Amino acid sequence: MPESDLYGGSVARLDHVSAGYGANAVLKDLSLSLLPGEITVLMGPNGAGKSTLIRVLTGVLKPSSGSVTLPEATDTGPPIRWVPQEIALYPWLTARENCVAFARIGGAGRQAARALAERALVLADCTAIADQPVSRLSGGYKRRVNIAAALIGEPKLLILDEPTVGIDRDAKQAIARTILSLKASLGAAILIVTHDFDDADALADRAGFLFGGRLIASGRPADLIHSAFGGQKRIELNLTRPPDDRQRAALLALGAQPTLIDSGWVLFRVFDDWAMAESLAPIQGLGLDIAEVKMRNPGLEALYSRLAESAE
Amino acid sequence: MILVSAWIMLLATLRDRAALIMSFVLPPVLFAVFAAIFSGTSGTELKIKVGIVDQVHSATNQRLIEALQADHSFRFIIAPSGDAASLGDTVRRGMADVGLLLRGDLAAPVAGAAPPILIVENSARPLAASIAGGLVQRTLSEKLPDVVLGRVLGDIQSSGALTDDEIGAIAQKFHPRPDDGLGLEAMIQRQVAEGDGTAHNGNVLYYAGAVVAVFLLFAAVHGAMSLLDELNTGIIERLRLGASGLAALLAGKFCYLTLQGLIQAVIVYLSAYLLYGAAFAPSRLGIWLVSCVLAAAAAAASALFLCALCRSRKQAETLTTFVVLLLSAIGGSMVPRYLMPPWFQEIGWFTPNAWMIQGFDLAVQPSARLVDLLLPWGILAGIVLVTGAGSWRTVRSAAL
Repeated sequence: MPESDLYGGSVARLDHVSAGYGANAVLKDLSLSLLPGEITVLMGPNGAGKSTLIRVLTGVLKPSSGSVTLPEATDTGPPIRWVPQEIALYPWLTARENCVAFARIGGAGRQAARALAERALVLADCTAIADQPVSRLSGGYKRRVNIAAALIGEPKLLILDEPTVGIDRDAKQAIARTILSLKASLGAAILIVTHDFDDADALADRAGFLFGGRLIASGRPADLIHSAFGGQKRIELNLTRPPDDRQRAALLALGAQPTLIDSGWVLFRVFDDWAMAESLAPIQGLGLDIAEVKMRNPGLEALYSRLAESAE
Repeated sequence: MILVSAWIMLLATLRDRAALIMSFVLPPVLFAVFAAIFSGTSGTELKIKVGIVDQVHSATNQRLIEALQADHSFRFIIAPSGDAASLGDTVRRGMADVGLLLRGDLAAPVAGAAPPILIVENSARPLAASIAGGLVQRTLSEKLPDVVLGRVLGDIQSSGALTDDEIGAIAQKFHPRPDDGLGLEAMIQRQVAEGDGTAHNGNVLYYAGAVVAVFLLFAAVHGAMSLLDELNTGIIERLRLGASGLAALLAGKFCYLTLQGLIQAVIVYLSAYLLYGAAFAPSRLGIWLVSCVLAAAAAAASALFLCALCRSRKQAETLTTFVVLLLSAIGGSMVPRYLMPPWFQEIGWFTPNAWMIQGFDLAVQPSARLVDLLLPWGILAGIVLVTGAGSWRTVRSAAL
C-alpha cells in the first residue's frame, strides 16, 4: 500500500507508475498521492525524473505501466495547472491582460475571463501591479504573476517548478507567503519541485526524494528526518583554512563530512542542547583553526545529502 | 481563440515600439528612398556625370560638345585641357562616371589614325560607358548629321567604290542640315506599351510593390517569432493546448500577420500616391486588394514556417534575416529583376517576392486581365498552403 494512502482523499494519485521516452524508462515504479490543502515538495538531482513526473501529472505523457488518477475538469477550467520554471508570460501584456488571455485561451468568455483573472491576481497578491506590463516588473513580481496565471479557474492541483529560482531573499519570502496563503485559500493540492532547501523546509507538508526515477523516500519532513537522524544534531564547522591530511583523517574518523566549501565540515552528534561543548571535545585536540561552529536540527538538505550518499 | 491569439499579437505590436516602427514606419520611409533611387536610374532622370576633354578645339568638336550639353539627362564636366591619363584619373576617382576624350577633329579624318573619340570608362561602372557611347552616337546622328555623312563618304571614297565626281554629287545633292537627323528618328520611335495606364510614375508603383514584398516578410517574421517565445518559455505547454487549440493559436497569428501586411501595403501605396502622385485606376482597387491579401498571407505563412523551423529566437533572427534578404535580392525587391543576369531572373521565380511583385504590378495595370493574375495569385495561394501546413506540422511535433 502506498504511504500516501495513509492520508486518503488524494487529488491526484500515481500507483506503481513507470514512464519514459521510447525504451528509456525514466520513472520506475513510482507511487505518490497528492492531497488537498497540502504542499508536497519534491527534490532530486538533475535527471532524476522530476520533469517527467510533471509531464505525467499534467497528462502530457502517458505512463508505460501503472495507473494515474487525475482530477476531472471543471466548469472553470482545467483542474491541473503548471507553473513552469521560466516566466511563461507575454512580456508586452500587463499582468491582468496575461491572466485574461490565458482564461480566454482556456475557453472562458470575455466577462468570465475578467472575473477569473481578477480572482487569480488576488490569490497571488498581484493586484498592485496588475496593470503594469510584465516586462517592467521585478523578478519577484514576474514569478508571482507566473503563479497567478496558473490560478485561473482555481485548479485542484497546482504544480510549481522551481518557483523561487533567480530572485532575492525578500522576493523568495514573499512568494513563500503567497504559496502558503494559496494552500489555505485554494484548498488545492500543491506540488513544488525545487532544489531550494530553504523553500522545502519552509513550505513542505510532505517531502519526496526522487533519485534515478525512483521515489526513495516520502512523507512528513519531521518523520523522515527523525527516522534518518534520530535525535542527532547537525554541527557545522567552518574553518579558517582547510585541514591538513592528519586533521582530515581524524575528522573523517569522527564521522564528519566535508561540505562543498573546502573549509566546511559537517558532523552529526547526539547530545543535549546544553552539552554542545562536551560533544565537541574530540575535535578540540585536533588543532583546527575554527572560525565558526553552528548547531541545528538536521533539515531536508541534510536528509537529501544522506539519501544521495545511499543512492550512490 | 483565434481572436484571442490575434489580440495578443496586436497588443504586443502596439507596445513594442521597435516592432511598431518596423511594421508601419520603416516601409514607407524605405519605399521613399528606394523609389527616389530607382525611379532616377531607370527613368528619365538619369544623371550620369560625363567628363570631356577636347584636345583639338576644332569647330566641329565644339559643336559636338554643345550638342551634348543640350541633353539635360547628363551632367558634364568640361576640362579645358588634358589627356587620356588625366581623364582616366578623373574617372577612377569618381569625379566623373565616364570620360570622353576628343583627340581628333571629327570633321577631318586622318587615314590610319585612331578614332577621334575615346571613351574612358571605369570598370566598376560599365553601364555608364555604354550609355555614354549611345549618347554620342545619337547626338552625332541627330545633331551633327553632316559630320557623320562626311565621314561615311570619306570612307566610301577611300575604298574606291565611287569616283570623286560621284562622291561630290552625293555631297552636293544630299546635304543634311543640323537637327534634320540622319534618318534615325524616321527609323526609331518610342511609344509607351499599349494599355499601360500607369506610364506616369508607373515605375514608382513597381517599387511600391517591391518594398511591400520585402517588408511584408520582415514584419511577418518579427511577429512570428512570438511563436518561439511561446514554445520556449513554456506558455504553450502550461496551457496544455490540444491539437485544436494549437491550430487556433497558429491561425490567430496567421490572421493577425496577414492583416498587418495588408495595412503595410496600404500605407506604402498611399505614400506612393502622396509623395509621387503614383496612382492606379479606382476600378483596379478590388484586384489590388486581392493581391495584397494573398501577398500578406504568403508572407505570414512563410514567416511562421521559418520560425517554426528554429529552436530559439536568436537562431530565428539569424536565419530569417539571411533568408529574407536573399529572397528579396533575388526576387526583385531591391533591384528590378530585368536588370539582373538572365539566369538570376529565372531563379527569381522561385521566390515569393517575385510573385508578390508580379501580383502587385499586374493588379495596377489597366490592361492586365484577371486571367493574367491567376498565375501569381495561384502561386501565392500555394505558398500559403504549403508553408502553412509545414508550420503546423513543425509546431505540433515541437509542442505536443
